[in-house]
Amino acid sequence: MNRTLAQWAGQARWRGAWGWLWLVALTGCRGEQSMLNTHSPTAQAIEGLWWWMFYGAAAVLVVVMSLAFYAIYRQPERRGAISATKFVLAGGVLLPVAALTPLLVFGLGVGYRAYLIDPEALTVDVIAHRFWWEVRYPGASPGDTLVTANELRIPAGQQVRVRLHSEDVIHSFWVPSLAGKLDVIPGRVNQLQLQAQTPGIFRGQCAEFCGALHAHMEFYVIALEPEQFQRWRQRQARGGRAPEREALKQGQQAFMAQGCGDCHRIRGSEAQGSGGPDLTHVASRYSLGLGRTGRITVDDFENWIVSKEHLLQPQAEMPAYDQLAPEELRSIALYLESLQ
Amino acid sequence: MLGALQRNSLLAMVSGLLLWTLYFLFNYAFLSLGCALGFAEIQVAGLSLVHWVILAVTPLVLLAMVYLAWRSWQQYRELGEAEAEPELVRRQRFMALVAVMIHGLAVIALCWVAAPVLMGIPPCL
Amino acid sequence: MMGGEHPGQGAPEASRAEQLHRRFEKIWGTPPGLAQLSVVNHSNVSRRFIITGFVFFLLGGLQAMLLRTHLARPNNDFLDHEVYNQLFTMHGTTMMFLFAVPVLEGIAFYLLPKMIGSRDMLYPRLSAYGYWCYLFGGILLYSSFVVGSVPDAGWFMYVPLASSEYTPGLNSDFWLLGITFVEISAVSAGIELVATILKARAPGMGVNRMPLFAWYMLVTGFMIILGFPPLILGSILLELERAFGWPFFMVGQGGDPLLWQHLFWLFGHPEVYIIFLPAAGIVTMAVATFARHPVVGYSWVVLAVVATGFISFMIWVHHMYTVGLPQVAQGFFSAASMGVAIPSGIQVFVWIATLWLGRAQMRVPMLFLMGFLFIFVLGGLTGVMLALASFDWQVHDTHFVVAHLHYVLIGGMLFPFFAGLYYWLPLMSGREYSELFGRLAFWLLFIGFNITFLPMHLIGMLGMTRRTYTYPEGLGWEIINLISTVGGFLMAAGVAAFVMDLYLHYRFGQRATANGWGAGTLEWSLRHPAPSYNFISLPQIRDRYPLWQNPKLPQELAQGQGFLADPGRGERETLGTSMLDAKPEYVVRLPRNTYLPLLLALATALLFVGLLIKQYWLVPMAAVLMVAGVWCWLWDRGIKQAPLVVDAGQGLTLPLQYSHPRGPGWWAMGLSILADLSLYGSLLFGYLFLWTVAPAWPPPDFGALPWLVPSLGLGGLILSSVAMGWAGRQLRVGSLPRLRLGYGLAILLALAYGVSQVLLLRDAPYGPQQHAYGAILHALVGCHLLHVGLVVLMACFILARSAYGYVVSDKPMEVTNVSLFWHYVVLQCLVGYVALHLLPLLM
Repeated sequence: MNRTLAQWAGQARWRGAWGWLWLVALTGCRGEQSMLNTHSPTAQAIEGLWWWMFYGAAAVLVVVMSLAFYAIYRQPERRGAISATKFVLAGGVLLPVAALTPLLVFGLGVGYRAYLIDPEALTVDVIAHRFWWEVRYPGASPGDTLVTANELRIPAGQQVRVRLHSEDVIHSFWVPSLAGKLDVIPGRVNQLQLQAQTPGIFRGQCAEFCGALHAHMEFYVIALEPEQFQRWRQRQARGGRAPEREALKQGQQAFMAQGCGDCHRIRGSEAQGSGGPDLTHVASRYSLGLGRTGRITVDDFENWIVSKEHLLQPQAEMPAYDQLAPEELRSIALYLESLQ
Repeated sequence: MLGALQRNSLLAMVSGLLLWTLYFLFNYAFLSLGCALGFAEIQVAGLSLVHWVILAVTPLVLLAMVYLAWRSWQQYRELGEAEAEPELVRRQRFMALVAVMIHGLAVIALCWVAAPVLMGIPPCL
Repeated sequence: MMGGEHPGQGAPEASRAEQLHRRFEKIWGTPPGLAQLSVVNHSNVSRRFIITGFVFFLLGGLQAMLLRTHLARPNNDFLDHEVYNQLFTMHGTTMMFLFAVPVLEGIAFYLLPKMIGSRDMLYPRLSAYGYWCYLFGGILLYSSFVVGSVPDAGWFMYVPLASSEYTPGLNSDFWLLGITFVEISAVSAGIELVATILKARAPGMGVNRMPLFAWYMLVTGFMIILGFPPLILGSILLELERAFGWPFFMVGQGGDPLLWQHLFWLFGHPEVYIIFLPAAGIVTMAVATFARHPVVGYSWVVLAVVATGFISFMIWVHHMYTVGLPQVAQGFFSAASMGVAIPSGIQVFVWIATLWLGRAQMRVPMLFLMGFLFIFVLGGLTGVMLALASFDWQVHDTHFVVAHLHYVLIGGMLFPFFAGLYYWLPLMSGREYSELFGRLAFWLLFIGFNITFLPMHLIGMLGMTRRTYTYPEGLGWEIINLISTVGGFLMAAGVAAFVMDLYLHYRFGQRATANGWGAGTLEWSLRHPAPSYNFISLPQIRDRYPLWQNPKLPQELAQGQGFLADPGRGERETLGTSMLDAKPEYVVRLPRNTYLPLLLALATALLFVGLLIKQYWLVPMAAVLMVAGVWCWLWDRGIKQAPLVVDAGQGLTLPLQYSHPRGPGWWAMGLSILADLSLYGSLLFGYLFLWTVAPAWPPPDFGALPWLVPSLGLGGLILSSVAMGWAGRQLRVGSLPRLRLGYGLAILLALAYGVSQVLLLRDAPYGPQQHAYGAILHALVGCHLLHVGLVVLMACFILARSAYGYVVSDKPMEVTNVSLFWHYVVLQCLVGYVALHLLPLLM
């Protein structure tokens, strides 16, 4: 009775292994932040590595468990004879050496190619803050730098070099569809290359625990056709225009009155703060925290301003913008929505 | 004397892996200093100075390990013919055998550690 | 039948065995009540480690269930981010420091003397002190809940997040001080394990015959001694930074956050093998019993264990692959990390081969062993994947790693732990467990575990990072998180079933028959439950499996047909034997119950509490109390009256340990020096690392230290070593006055050195708060001063002892030990001098 139970249980382990493969197929690997949703040579090379290792590991697990079951359940008289030394030598030394030597060489090669950075590549500086990403592009002329936040737009089909800086704690820059992650460490500048093969939107996230809102520190890498990228860059490099409609003027005044300009910069206006993201073209961004992506509406701005994630930004010393009067809140949001 | 050491000293028995540890630390430290202080940039015949040094050190350590393994194996064989003091001899033989295995594993581990240098990957990339 | 089972025997033999048992119990037992606090023998102390560890396991498990409940849904509000961050930090910290290592220490302490044929571990008071440090350290850490300042920077406490700028409250200090307090128990356990295994085995148990568990614990002991000090040092440095502003890790002032990572992982990687090896040792012992066949490939296992020990120290950077190190360096670590898979593979095939050549019986322990095999091999395979740096760049800091680490830790430690408990339970409690509950516990745990953690690999690859208190919808993570939570509850049910089984077996379990498993190793020769003294008489060993070679051995030993069968001297005694062949060398007198370990631990707690609450006046007070405690501890009674030789039974006459130049005390000193070397080496590494790698180095005036006074001081210190050596020789010719002269001279020279170092600090170009160079300089010199102070205290102790007639030429142990430490300290100060004064001149 024990025997049958155990045999069934043994089969359950097999079922477990198959069940997982089925789950993989079911869920698919197409998640927006999935490392198997590859769009760059590096990500593809690493994915290739993964599948080789997965099938190899699955085979080893099956072999080991089969041997163990055989060793236990096959009647002793009917078991094959083994030489203990040869068995251990074969399984414990020869098998790992044969399997792992090519894997090591292959894996080292993948790593090497991932870090061949083209010296002519467009260089973007990313500065990690608690809890947002500042993105700075080199300007056409010195002193003229395009600054945006939480999204990195790049031209598709070419390498882009990303230089990573931190002024507070250790963060990690990770956009799985395009590359492995690289830590952002105060006192050092780490460099990564990204190369999106085709245009697309790729989600990334901070991958080193950096405090309270680490879970919300996502960003997007948006690859555009090269001409589109140039147009975007030119538009972004322009400063903001002064608002013309009355509602927007009021919004701008409320924005300044509430002290938002102490942290946020809007080029071409009086708001020249530096503790928080640059908002010059904030409404043209793909995402605005809290998982809002796509076309950002006035409601989205309102929700963000009063959200606890916004309130918890450590640089915030201003009192309660979660207690703004509704009209004031609305008018600030309207103003922000106009900053395309 | 080396033979006597390997069957009567635990430290000698594990000397192959001790050598490997020192080799590993040397490689890592030398490479790190080379990149931090800049001498890794010095190229000789297309290969970094750091690589040359490691490539020179590697076969020396390898030879030392192989020699240790060979001597332990000799010990193991000789002790197999010893007649007096069976208990002592058995224990010594055990240590000689384990020594051979340890030195052998150290050789494998050494070859793997040398791989990145053998592949010619640039030192400070 | 009488209480406790004995292999069947006739009446006269039984009554002789009973008489001996009662006499030994009188010497080794403990009266009930408050006296329980004074217990030092290994069976009691180890059970405390196991029980306390299990309580922490339940606490850590509760934390895990809270985390899993919260993560079952996206954007959940069951917990807020503050509580979540505290919970995941405490879950990891509790499981790693307060459960895994102590509980396995407990099992090792319980089993080893019984397996190697000894009456106790070699330093019973040290075991007891270690236990109290563990308990008080754990309480200190958990008192953070009461105060509301729970550590929340992750169990590996990366800086700058954990430093005072970003964690201004006491949270990180609770962690740093609490864990360092607990680590005292780990390091002392490591020292005790190595010394006991090498020196206290039964006669004839050469290193080729000792049970494989002893080999596992020998290597683990060395790993603890060398692997814990880097974290102890790191914690000291971080606490100095937080409390006093010494900027070891602050970039602006010449520090480097990467130094913390190196120090932490230099400890952190060996730590996981310190956890795995004892568990693998349990597996090896149990497999032999359940396969009813000796372990095939004894030498292979020894190879695997030794290789794991060495290689595991050289792979720490695989936790740092994403930090931006050169590819070739990452390649070295990828290669070595793959290399460590070979010894694990060897062990797996040894176990399978043993089962193959044997006839396995599928009882509950065997079920857990099979569960272990599946889970651990799977975890090991994902480990090989992670060894490759390029793959790791994608899955590092994601739930893939969380899944991997739980597979190797739960598979590689928890399942063997349960297997071992079920296996040795009849020996520990004298009762049988319930097969039904045991099997229920196993299946719930096994199935629940795989449901929780197998899918977790996938969400890691789908992009879910670690330590995120919540996650959004739409990324494909919701279903799997829910499944994992369900699995977690199944696991909790499994644990509950196990606890139920434990309780039921104590209340209703049948009396266990002696060696019901038919095992071959020595621990099974004892009466069940095992008595406090283990063996009535110690055996002569002729085989790896003494009970299979001689099934009558239990009766023979119980009737006093072995060594040290005579309790007539009224002392706790065991045999000290030679390292390789276990030839009897001396009889070890072991201490009886004493409150000193508890009192010393309380004084230690006072020191840590003083540091925590920043009432620094408590620190010197506690230090004085500790010195007084250690002084009494070492002032052993009876050494004057101890006989020179005793009758050890079986025609053997042996000296006591005091007459032997390399007695247990020498081993303790030597192994402590090894631990200290690791600590000092880590500090030197910190200095060299910051110098070469940290930004803002070298600072102006680097290396421009005053040289005259320190050089004179060092010269004097070297002379003091000569004086000590001379004094030691005077002891041998029995000239006490000259010994005292030598000591006096040495002490004066050491004090002069101390003054020279204080002057060095006074005149140094940097204070400790101005730049990391100043901080490291003060740390190194402070370290030298502490050591010199310590060794001067030791020398004064010897002088006091000599005034009372304890220092005699035929009992050289104390003088030898102090000389050893003295020379070590001088060497350390010399190396420090070269590093601080001479090396900068080379650059």
